Parts: sequence; structure tokens; C-alpha cells
Amino acid sequence: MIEQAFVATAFAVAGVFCLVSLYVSFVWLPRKMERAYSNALRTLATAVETKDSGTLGHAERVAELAVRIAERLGLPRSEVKKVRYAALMRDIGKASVPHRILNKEGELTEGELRVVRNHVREGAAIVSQIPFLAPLADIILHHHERWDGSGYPDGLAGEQIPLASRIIGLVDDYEAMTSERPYHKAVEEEAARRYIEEASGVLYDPVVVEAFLAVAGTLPLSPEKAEASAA
Amino acid sequence: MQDSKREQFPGTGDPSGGASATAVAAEPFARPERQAGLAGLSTRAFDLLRYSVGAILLFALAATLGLQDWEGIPGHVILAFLLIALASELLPVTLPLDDAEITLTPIIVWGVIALFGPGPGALVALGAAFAGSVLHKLVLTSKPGQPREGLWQYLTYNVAVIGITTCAGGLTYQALGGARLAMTGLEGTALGPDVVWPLVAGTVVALSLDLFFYALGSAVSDSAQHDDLSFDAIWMRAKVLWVKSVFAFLPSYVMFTPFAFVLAYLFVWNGLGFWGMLPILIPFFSLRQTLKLVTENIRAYRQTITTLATLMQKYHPYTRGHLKRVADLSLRLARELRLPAQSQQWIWEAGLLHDIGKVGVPEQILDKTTRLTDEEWEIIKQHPVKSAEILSQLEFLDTIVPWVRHHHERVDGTGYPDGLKEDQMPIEAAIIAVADAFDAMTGTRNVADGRSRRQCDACEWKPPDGAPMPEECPDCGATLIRVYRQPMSIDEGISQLRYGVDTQFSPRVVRAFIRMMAREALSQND
Repeated sequence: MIEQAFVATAFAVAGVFCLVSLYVSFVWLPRKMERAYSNALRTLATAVETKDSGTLGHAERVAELAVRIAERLGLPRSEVKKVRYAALMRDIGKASVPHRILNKEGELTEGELRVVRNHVREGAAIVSQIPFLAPLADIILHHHERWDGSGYPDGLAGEQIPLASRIIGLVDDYEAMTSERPYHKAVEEEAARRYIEEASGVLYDPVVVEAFLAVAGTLPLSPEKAEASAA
Repeated sequence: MQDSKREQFPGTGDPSGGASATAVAAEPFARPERQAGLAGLSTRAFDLLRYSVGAILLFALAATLGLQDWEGIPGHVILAFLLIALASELLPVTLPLDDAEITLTPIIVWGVIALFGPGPGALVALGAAFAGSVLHKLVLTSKPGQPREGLWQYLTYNVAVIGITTCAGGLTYQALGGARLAMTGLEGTALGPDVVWPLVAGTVVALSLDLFFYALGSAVSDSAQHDDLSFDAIWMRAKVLWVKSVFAFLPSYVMFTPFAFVLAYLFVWNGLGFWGMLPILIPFFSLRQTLKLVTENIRAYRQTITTLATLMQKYHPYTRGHLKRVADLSLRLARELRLPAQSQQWIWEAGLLHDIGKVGVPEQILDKTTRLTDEEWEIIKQHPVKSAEILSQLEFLDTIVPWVRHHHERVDGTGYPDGLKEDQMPIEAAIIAVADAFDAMTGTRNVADGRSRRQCDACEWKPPDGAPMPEECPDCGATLIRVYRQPMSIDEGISQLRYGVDTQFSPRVVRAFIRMMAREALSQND
């Protein structure tokens, strides 16, 4: 009797062990790595943001809102993840833009403007060297393009611009408008939304604008705005 | 057995899960290959050691095979065990974050000893170790154009030690009246006194011998590297190594008895035979796959994040070459100082990432060649803190946070950020400090001073016809002309390090550095 119990226990322990291994490999590990990557990208984006005063936490809010828009548009999960990572990484190229240009008060010279605009190329060049992030290079390169072709770096228009870039570009503008910068004061969220609505079909993809308007109200306020409204 | 000195398989499998990086990062940031360890060294002392070990093996093997009762032992079953042991030898489990390898072979060997006696056990152990290392070296990890060094040394030392420990352990088992379960059956065998206690005694003997030979071999190779092969030097090193490795070896030896017992018991129970091995084989190989997946994922993550963070540090044109050289030099110093495996694992990343906090520091301050104001100096002093802060938020990189935070401490306690003294700062931080300083002094930087340039790198501004290049680009403000010191020679760099010993640099690290450089200069002259 004890013998049978011993043998049965040995097999049972082996079976449980296999199940645990399967769980770790296919459930725990992917989740853990996903969190680790997204956390690391966020941290590195924050490191670059410390250069650009007033943008702290910006990447994270842009990513959050961009993901909601992407979900609203019904993009598949893998695309949503790309939107998220690209939104976090979109300004990584600013690491090579000099501090004094990023924080300059007043008009930029033509040369300075070229340097600032070059950050999309720098960012795309950085991520394209890393196999895991290479698919984001195009999204990052074009996140300052405009629906009417007036953006940079390539002046793409309409559907030529990757959808993820259109989403991130819009959210980036919205976040920039509603937060304080050395070169401008924050705009009320309501006003910013109206501005984007008016620019629908000109600067922004109408489809993305529609999704944006549907989800924009659902996002928590940024810390400084929450403070302001509490006061 | 455990912690074998062979090289690792290159990571080939694809980690699953969408987020996990499948490929490793770009070429310039590939980590240098692991050094050949004990096996790569060939000196007269080591040869002598190997021949003695070989002689002991022959003697032990003769005794074991001679004392074995071979009657009724089925050859094909032993052969099957040998093949299973060989397979497990070729499929080791690599522990994550630490390159130690574990194989199932010893458990199978001890199971065979409990089933058939020490003779077949020794045959299985030696056969699997021998064929396993030959296959491993010649077929699985051979690269075109690379000499197959170390195989002969590995065979005559490591494999021979496996043979000796198995024979001695098996003979102990037999001498204490250990049962041969396959012969006697479960009926009438007192499992405790006849199987378990002799197994425990056998593994204790095997462990002691394994430790002895490991410590002796490493001590001889260490002493040879330090050009001091006196008995005292070897004995002193061996004593230290012996104590250190007890804790590395013990856990796997503790597992041998219970698993070998289960293996032997299930083999005999109700004629289960090889089916009885499933409860051991299946968990082991699922553990192997899982750990492999975890290890590969973490490795890919580390490479990805390190590469990304390194690419982000573009504030100086020479920075990237500098970071890479600091990383390589730190790794070599860590090896020279024989730091624990974990330090050697991580210091390369630490070298690349130690200045990541400079990303947020304005370039005007970093570039400044004149005296810094107090305020600017405060900002500079904060960069190791910022680096550490950034890294502490990343997963799997916790180890290097203190190393990075303290890489600007000085041994006399006047460094920053915390004013730690030599014995308070991690040795890894002291290594990075030396590597950083040495490369800053001697590194081949982009010395082109910009005067020969035709346009601004950043914004492509061109000076009007005939005008000289200004120091700052009037259009975008980029620094065009940097005043760099001419790089020093290696000798000048070393004398600067010597000059800073006891005030700035750790004497221990500088000594290792000078030793390493001297040896390299010597081997280049040969």
C-alpha cells in the first residue's frame, strides 16, 4: 500500500511539475517580459524627457491615449502594442538634440529648426539598429507628418502616413498643447479638442480624430492639471 | 559534473511571446566571448597534475571493475542507461543569471550504482562524460577555423575526475553493504540501511573528491598565471577555493541521493523498467526548456535595453567608442581579479550604462573646457545618481545599480556622490572608475578639431566663402571645435593610474590592471 502511494506520488509530482513549467513558459514569462520591456522603454523615454523641460511624463500620457485610440479603431493587439512602444520611443532621437535648442525660449533659427526636426530621423535610426524595435522605425520617422502633406521629414500625405504615426502625431500635438512649455502656455483641454476637431481632414486623419474625440474625455488628468483643478 | 567548464551553447531558440525579443542586438554591442577556463591552460605543472589524475583513474577503475560481481548483469540495459546518460549530458540545464550547468547524468549514474553496483555505474559515468565532451567539442560547438583547443585537457582532467569520484563513491557504497536492487529485488531489502545510507555515504565521498580535484586544478592554473608554482602558493589558493566551492557543489550533490533512489526504486517496482524513469526525465526536461526560455528572454532583454541605452548616449562624438572600450576593459579586469561569476556577467553592461544619467545633463556643461561654476559642478556630481536611478527602474539590472552609483567615488573618500572610501565601495565600481579614467586618458578619440570641417554636423550650416569655421555654429549653436588633449600613450596612462593609487584608484584594481597589461605586452612580444 505504501509502495503504491510512493509510486503514485512520484508520478503526480512529475505531472504537477510539468504543469507549472508550462504555466511559467507560456503565461508568466510573456507577461513578465512584456512588463519589463514596456517599463524599460518608459524609463529610457523619461531619461530623454529630463532634457526637455516640461515634458516629464509626457511620453507615458501620449502612449496611454494613443493606445486607447488604437483600440477604439479596432486595431489588432499586436498593432496596439506597436503603437504603445512607438509612442514611448517616438522622441528618443531628442537625446541628440542639444539641450539649449530644446529649451530655447523664443523663435528657433532655421538651423536649429533643422536640428530639432532631425530628431525623427535620429530616433528611427536608433530603433532600427535593434531587431526587436526595428518595426517601429517607420512609425517614429513619420510621426510628425500631416494629413495634408505639410509635415516633416518627407511631406507624406493622407494614407501614405502609417496609421500608427497618424495616431501618435495627433496625440503628441494634443498633449503638447495642453501642457506648459518654455515657448507657450498650456491651453484648456476643451479648446485643444476643438482645435483638433477643426483641423480634422487638414492636419489630422478624420477617422483618427473621431476616435480621439470619443476617448479623449476618458483619460485621467495630467498631474499639474489635476493640481490646478483641485486648487 | 555540475558547473562544467565547457562553453555554452550559443542561444539559438526563439523565445515565445510577442513581447520577447527574438533576435539579439546589433553587432557593435555583442558581448565578448567567454574566456576558456581551466581547460585552455597548458603548463608543465598542469600536465603533471593531469598525468597523476590519469594514473589514479586507472587504478580506481581497475579496482572498481575488479571488485564488481558481473554475473547476471544485462549488457543491453547498461548500454541503454549509458545512452540516456549521454543524451542528458548533451542537454544540460543552464541556470539563468549564472552560467552554471546542471545535468541529469550523476543521478542516472547513482541510480545505476544502486541497481547494479559500482562497476556499471563507473562505466556509464565515464562513457557518458567521455562521449559527451567529445561530441560537444567536436560536433556541437566547433566553429570553422577555430582550433579545438582544450579537448584533450578536458578529457584528461575533468572527465578523469568524474571517473575517479564515481569509482570512489561506488566502492564506498559497495563497502557499506549497499544493495543491488536489480539483482536482489525490493523484497527482503531494507531500503534505509541497504540503499539510502550507503548512497549518502557514497555521495559524500564523491563530493569531497570532486571538491579536492576542482580546487587543486584551479589552484594550479591560478598559480601558473601568477608565475608562482610553489607548493605553498598552490596550497593557499586551493584552501580558499575549497571552502568557496563547497556551497556551489553541495546543492546538486544533495539532490543525488533522493532522485537516484526514486530512479532505482521505480525501475525495479513491478517491472516498470525504463518507464520508471519518466517521473525524473519529464520534469527535468520541462525544467530545462523553461529555464532555457527564461534565460534567453532575459539575455535578449538585457542586450536590447543595453544597446538602446547605449545608442541614446550620443552627446559626444567619441562617447560610443569610449563606452564600448570601458565595458570591455572592465570585463577583462573583472576576469583578472577573478571576481564571482555574477560580477563577470554584469560588469560589461555596467560599463556601457554607467554614464546613462548624462543624457539629461546639458551639453554645454559636459563640453565645457573652462572651470565649472559651483552650480554646474553640482549638476555634474549628480550624474552617477541619475544613472543609478534610471537603472534601478529597469528590471533584471538591479545588480549593477550600486556599481554605477559609485563609479566616481575615490578611495580616499573625497569622491562623489557619497564620499565612500575604498573598503565601502563595491570593487566593480572601482573597476569601472579605473577603466573609465584610463580610456579617457589614452582612448583614441575623434581628435579632428573641426577646423578642417566644411559644414556644421548638426544643421549643415556652412560658413560664408573663405571665412574660418567658428567655435560654435551661429545657426544652431552646436560646438564645432572641441579642445581635446592629445591621447596619452599606454605607459603614460599607467603611470597616471599609479600616481592616483591610494587617493583616487583602488590599489587592488590598479595592480590587476598593471599585471594584465604587462602580461599582454609580454605575449605580444613572443
